[in-house]
Amino acid sequence: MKKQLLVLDDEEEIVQILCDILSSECEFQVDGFSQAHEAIEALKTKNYAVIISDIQMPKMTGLEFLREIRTEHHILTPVVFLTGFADVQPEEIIEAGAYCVLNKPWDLGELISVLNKASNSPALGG
Amino acid sequence: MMKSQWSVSQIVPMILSVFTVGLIILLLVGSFHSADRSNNAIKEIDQVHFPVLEDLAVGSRLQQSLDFLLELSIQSRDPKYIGEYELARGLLIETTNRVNQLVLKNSKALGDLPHIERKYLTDFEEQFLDLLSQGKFETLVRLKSSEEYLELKTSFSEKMFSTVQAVSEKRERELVAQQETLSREYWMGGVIVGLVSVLLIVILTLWTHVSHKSQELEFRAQNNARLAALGEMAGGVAHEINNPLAIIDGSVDMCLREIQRDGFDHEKVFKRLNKVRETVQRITKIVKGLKRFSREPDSDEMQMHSLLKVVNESLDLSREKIKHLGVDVKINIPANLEICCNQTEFSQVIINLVNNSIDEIKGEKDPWIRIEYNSSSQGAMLSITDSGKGIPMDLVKNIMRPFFSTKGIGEGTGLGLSISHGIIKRHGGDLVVDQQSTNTKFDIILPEAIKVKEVA
Repeated sequence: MKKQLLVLDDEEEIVQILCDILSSECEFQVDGFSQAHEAIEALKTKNYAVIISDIQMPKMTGLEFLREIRTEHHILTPVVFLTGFADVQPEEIIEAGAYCVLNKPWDLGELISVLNKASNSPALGG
Repeated sequence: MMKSQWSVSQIVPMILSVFTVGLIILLLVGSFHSADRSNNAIKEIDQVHFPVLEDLAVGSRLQQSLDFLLELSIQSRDPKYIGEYELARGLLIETTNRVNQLVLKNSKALGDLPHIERKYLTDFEEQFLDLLSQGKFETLVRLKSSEEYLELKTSFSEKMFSTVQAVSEKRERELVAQQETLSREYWMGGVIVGLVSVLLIVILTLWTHVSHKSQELEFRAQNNARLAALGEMAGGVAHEINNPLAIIDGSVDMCLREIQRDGFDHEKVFKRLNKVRETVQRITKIVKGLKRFSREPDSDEMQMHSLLKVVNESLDLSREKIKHLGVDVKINIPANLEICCNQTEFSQVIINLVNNSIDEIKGEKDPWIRIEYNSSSQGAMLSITDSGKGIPMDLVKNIMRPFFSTKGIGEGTGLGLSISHGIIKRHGGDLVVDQQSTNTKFDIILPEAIKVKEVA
């Protein structure tokens, strides 16, 4: 059975591209969202192996999203952040319970390898 | 509404120039006044001295006339000149009394002068008159030649003469003293005026120098602030470009994979490539905005521009940030308004105000910024309001000052608002904080000089 992957980015184009590339390039079943609350709803009903999330998003930032799923919904799925901004210090993100932070534009090889590792790792945070 | 704008650098040289001109006028008036004073002083001196000298001269003449009339009567053995003699004698007594009175009255100005005694001579003259009327010429000749009479006459003449001399000398001395006082005053006045003039010239020169220097410093500070802001923005822009770059990169990746597939989906590739083009335009806008901001303002002239276009283009640089931070930006400016401005400078002000707003309201629940044009009888105004809760009263008076910043070290130059304020002032307008507003609101007041004009 394919592993489930959740993509969250306020930029719909990026969601589309990631869904397209990752579903065709690796063994993932990808669901994409551009709104954090929609992603949370999906997380509550489906068991995902990895989450890819943007950091800088309106209404709810990636970090807020991470904290909410960890503390309020006790979802321990590894979160890989993908960001074009570097306003947030990586240490802070890792401390918040993220698996790792990658930059946009991403290196596809690196992204896939990180996703594979993350999906095989025991759930983090909590 | 046209407001006159005077800066300190214009006012001070003007005041100094007015002072210098005033000083020259004062000098001219002063010299006229001095000449006038000198004339008055001489008149005053003469008013005291001349009557005495005149009377003394008349007295001497009258004495001579008396002698002459007496001699004439003796020679002709005829008392017919008795009337003239009496008249001259009366006049002489009167004159002598007047001299004595004047001397007494003006003793302060004339000094202590001896009283001119004539009583005994008058006694002799009475006897002469008697003898003349009785025709006793021989006795008259004897009495006239008497030692006592001659002595009294000599004494009288000498006193008259010495008084004339004393008064003349006194007058001379006073005129000299007066001249000395005046020339000393002249000299002192000249020195003071000269010193003050030199001082004014020195101050004027120094001021010109200092104001040139401060203009240069202001120019440099403005340039530095622009470069610092540009540096800050360049960092931000690098991040802002990363998102569209990821879209381009991902799209190209997708296309490359798709075209390698057998029977690839043309439609999909076509759509993706169009996305790439759109995204490239997004980046182009950011780069254009950056270029606009980095351009030397001098290279831009005051020209008519659409206010809406200037504002929209100014926002291009911040659009990615606005989008990612979820800031709701609303612009309400009539499309047909034109404004005469230096676009680079004016854009810098808008970029600065909008960036300040974004920095303040990011992280808020529903951040928003409104950019609106308002026109009232007070004049035209471009307001930038954000969802912030206003600026505390104690900060309002400082925020336009150079190097004032509430941001952390390394986050702001503290020059943004002061430079923006300077730019708007140079355009003839004003940049103020609207303290009545419950939100943070900056008003760019555009007076007539900016010429907001309705175009068809």
